[in-house]
Amino acid sequence: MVKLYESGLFFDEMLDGIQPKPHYQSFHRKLSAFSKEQLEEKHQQAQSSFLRQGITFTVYGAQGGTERAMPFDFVPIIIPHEQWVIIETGMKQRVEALNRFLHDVYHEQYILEDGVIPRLLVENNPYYYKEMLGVQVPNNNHIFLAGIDLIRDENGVYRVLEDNLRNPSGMSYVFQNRHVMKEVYPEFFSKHSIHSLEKQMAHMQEVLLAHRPRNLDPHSDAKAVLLTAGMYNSAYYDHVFLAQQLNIQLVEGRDLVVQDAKVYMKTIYGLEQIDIIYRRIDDDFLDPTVFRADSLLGVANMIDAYKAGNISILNAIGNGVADDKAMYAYVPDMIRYYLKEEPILENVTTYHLSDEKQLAWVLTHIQELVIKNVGASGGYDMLIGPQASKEDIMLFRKKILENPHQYIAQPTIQLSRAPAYQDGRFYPCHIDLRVYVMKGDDTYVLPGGLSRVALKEGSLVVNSSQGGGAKDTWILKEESQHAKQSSGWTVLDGTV
Amino acid sequence: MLSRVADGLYWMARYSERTENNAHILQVQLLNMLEQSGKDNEYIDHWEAVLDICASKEEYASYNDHIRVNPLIDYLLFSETNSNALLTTLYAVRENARISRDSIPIELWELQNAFYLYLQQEITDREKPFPLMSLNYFLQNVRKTSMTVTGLIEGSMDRDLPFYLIQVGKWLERAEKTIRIALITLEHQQQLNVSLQEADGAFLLDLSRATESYLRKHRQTNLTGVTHYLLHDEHFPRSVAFCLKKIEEALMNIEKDHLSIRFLELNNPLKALLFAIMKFDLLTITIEEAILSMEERLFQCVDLSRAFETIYHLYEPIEQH
Repeated sequence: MVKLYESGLFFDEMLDGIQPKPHYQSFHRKLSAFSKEQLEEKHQQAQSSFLRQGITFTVYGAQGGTERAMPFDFVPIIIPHEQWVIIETGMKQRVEALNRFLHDVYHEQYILEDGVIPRLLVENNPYYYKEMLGVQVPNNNHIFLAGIDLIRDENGVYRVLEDNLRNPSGMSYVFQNRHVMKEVYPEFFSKHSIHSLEKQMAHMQEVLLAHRPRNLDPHSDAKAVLLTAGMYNSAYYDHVFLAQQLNIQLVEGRDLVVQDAKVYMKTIYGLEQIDIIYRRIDDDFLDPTVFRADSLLGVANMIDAYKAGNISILNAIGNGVADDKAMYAYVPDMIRYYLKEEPILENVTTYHLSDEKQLAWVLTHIQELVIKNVGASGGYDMLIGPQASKEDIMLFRKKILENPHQYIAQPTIQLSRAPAYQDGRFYPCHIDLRVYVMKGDDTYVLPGGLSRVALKEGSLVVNSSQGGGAKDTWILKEESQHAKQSSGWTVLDGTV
Repeated sequence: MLSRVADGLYWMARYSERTENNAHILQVQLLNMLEQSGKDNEYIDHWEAVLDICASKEEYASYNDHIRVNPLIDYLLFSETNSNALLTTLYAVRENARISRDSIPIELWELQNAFYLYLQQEITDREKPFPLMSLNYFLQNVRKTSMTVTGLIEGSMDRDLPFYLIQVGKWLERAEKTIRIALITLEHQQQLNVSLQEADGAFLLDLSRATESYLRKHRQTNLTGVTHYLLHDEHFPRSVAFCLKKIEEALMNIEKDHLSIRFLELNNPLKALLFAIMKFDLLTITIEEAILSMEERLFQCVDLSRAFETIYHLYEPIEQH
């Protein structure tokens, strides 16, 4: 048996001390059969597979953009069936509540009337678009695809870290990680029965096409496109992959034109009307006549077509009001308010700095906390107290005092770890999990999701732009699972 | 199909064909140079012809005083000031493949992408000027990749719009190139003051990659015979007549209605070009007339490309404000 490392004080996905947990035993046995050279060779093979396929993202630096493949780590995150069932149910619950919230704030606003969520928090939110008030979206569904980020704390409890309801990216990596894993490390799959990803794209397509614009003739098929910002966008690979898998055209803004409140694409035989736009550009850039006038990515007058019911735009416009870091703290309240249920998945405790009491407390405990800008993502404009220098702390103190609404604070959580293999050795790295939820007439949760890993030793930032990598995620099937709950585990049942 | 994607496919094919042709021509000249070392003038003359065929002599002259071999090779292969340098056209192939990657076989994209990445690595890692042997190896690699690309397209693509758009790009580019090679050779000949009947066509055959095919059917490599072969032969896949027939075939598949305006607007000038090509006879005209005629054919070719690009909206759409 190989000895990887000692799990220590952290919660480790694979190890208890130095022993593999029951659901990792079979994997661990296989791992022991490989020589160091074999592992190194496979590692190279996997990386070059990503590069060759152009599954890269662009890193912008001093010398323009360079292309890099997202580092792939072959040690999968394995999740036992019972645990997944809880996550899956919790995800559906959360997305349902978020969707009702979005519908509510753009229509009746009951939740604001009832004072569950401060009205100002909604109305001052930069992603809350007054233009969208009263706009009817197909099936009242605002969230076609959500990416919900989960972490596990030092006790192994899953907590939601962030909701992404605008343009969650990275789904293609889930499929590619599995593809490369099967191609390069087929040995590991024997003795495991895991949920396949095969049918998921059919679900996604079904969900996509369910968003028929209200003026579309009920007898005709909806024609959908994926609107990308173009091949220099860092998530372009994601767009290409999804368009291909969903069997829809990949278009740029300049391929589309609006005439008489209808949207057409420019083909070699002339204009062709389209009905559904799965857009992967931000709200602000969609229509230069309504939002940013300098946008070259969008299509003029698209919003007219949207309001007229001639086109569906997915995800709906204005979703940002529900997924920023300040609104996040209220999601459990949304669940209780709309669904009359207790949240199945917990949040991370969040302090609002606009509240004076909380602000004062946070400022005296800033070294122990994580400070985040409510509007930022990708690990930017963020302070990790325990790792920060005195200067950084001073800087953030100043930023918070200047603009307390813009920041929230959360306790530093000892993110769980899992083994990663890089440069010929295994070492523990912090991980998180992005779970994808697809919602149309039915709601589907992609089994597994994107496990992201902070490959820099000790780092807590998993974003690919900052040195993060990815892992395959395996959801074990019920019948063949030989894992039993190990004694140290906390079961997620919503009451822990 | 989106106009933008069609544009990507068409230009991917054109640049791919251009890269392959230029790589071949450079390779021919590099090997030629080995044999001619000693007779400086002749190979400089040939280099000048190669420059004219693969890039623009005027553009080169604006950066360089006179032709010297090493800077010229660098210019033709790697220079950023040359819009037809091999590295530039390969980059264009890859970027256009990237635009149209949802319409081409995945393997085709991977091949183009991997080759471009390999090339970049190669160029950054090596010292310049490249030794002759490694240049040759490199050109060989370019050509091998092109062959694989052709094989992939032929063997794995559905006979559908993307395929035929690629075909139009490829055969148009090739027809244009063959005419250009013939034209430059004739101009070269004019300066030498040798009568057309006595002129030798071996270099022209080499440049057009026709030597093997031609010698199977003919004994003498006189310039007249070779030029006629390159323009008229029905079976040689680089002759202009052959290329034009292939374009017609592709157009008939893109446009099912052969009485439609779109089809006629392309097919009529295509027919006119083919007619003029077939009528060309070096035995009955002077070299000046021949040069003039080739220039006209080249313009016809360029006009045909423009017409195709316009009819199918292949130009970059204008930004919407």
